[in-house]
Amino acid sequence: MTSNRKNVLAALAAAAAMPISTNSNSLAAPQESKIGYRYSQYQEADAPRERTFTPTIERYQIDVHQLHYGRPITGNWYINTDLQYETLTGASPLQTYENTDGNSVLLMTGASIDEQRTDLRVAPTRYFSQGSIGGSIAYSTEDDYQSIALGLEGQLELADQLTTLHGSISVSNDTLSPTDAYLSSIRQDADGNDKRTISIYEGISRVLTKTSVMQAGIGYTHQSGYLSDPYKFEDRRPGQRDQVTLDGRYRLYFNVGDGAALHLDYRYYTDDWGIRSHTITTRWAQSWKANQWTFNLIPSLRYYRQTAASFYRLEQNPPDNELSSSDARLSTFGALTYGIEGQVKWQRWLVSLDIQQYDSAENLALIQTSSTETPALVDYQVVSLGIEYRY
Amino acid sequence: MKRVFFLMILVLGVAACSNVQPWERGYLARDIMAWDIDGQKAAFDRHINFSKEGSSGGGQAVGGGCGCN
Repeated sequence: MTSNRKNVLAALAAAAAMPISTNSNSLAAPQESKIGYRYSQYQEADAPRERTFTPTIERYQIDVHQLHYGRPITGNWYINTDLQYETLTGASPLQTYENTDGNSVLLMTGASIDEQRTDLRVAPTRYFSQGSIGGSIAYSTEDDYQSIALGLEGQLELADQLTTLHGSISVSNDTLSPTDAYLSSIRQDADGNDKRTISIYEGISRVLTKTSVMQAGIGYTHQSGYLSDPYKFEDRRPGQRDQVTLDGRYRLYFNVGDGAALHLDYRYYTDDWGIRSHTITTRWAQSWKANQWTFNLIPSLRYYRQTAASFYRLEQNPPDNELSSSDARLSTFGALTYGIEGQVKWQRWLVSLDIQQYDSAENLALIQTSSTETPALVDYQVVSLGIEYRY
Repeated sequence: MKRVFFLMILVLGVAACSNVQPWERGYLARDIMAWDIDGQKAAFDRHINFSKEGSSGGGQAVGGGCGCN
């Protein structure tokens, strides 16, 4: 093995423990403290009345509060803390099956779901002259689900000062404790079961020109344990799942107004459940300045399509010894997300307003579409308001 | 998948020809050029997409989550 190859492999190994920087610009430690709050209201559209057998058609409404605090600590250390609190009400799909007329019938839970989720993440990072390395611990708890995750991540700038290697690794353990377990033997069986995840990502970013930069990466995730959904009827999934992603991101600057940037993101995904997906996201970030005020307007468009899992089926009573799920998230479908975010900056303050509309449908898969109906596919709208102060 | 992988390798190969000095990177340092302009929005969007679609990941290692029924 040549010394060059050894150096590259050593650099990749060193980077195997790192996350992607959120900025395309610098590896230096942030010098400012930052505190931010964001409130989002998430509202799903009703299920189609003509395809819903149960009385309830209202789906989820979720209020989300996000609090972020980041500050430098001694030396070249910086710590980020994120707290998220959600309150959720509404109903969710129990099962979809095809009746004798060939139409899909949707069963929903009663509109009795009312729960909260709290998610805390703490992530210290140590910066060096040519990179950084950081750790994270995250804990999420809700009435019927607990999750703890540990992560290690970093980045390393190569000698040409144009290329940065990124890497991250994460392990997590989730524990199920379904509510109202007395209602079904499936929920009783799921109670106390774990879902374990290990994930690794390797990426490389590169300055292309004075106005453009790109990043590409590959990710692998392995899940094992109880991967079925205990709240759905006839939901029996494999006990393991291997997932691979390939992704690329590109940023191009334009001298328009006070500056503008074109964002292009792409992700390919495949797993051993038979799902393959393509995701393309594009944004135009336009900036204007007036005295001490800066205005950013960021319209975005995201297209997503996936193929169905091999065990996705719409039989009302599939054999007990066979894998089965009618979860719409495992079906063939496509989705479009339209969004626009406005930001106003004044001195150390930033206020943002973001609106998103998500529409999904069987025929939006465009190719390899399915002829079966999937009435549980969801459309939703999100409105968010955020405020941030740097000091 | 092979086609996507080889396309990414090709683009990175072409990119290897670039030579931009550190003092020429003012535009790249602008907020609007960040991978995620708004970190809280990006985290929230990833969370929603994870809970409503059959695939997730990309850009970083993933792990943990919610019941998300």
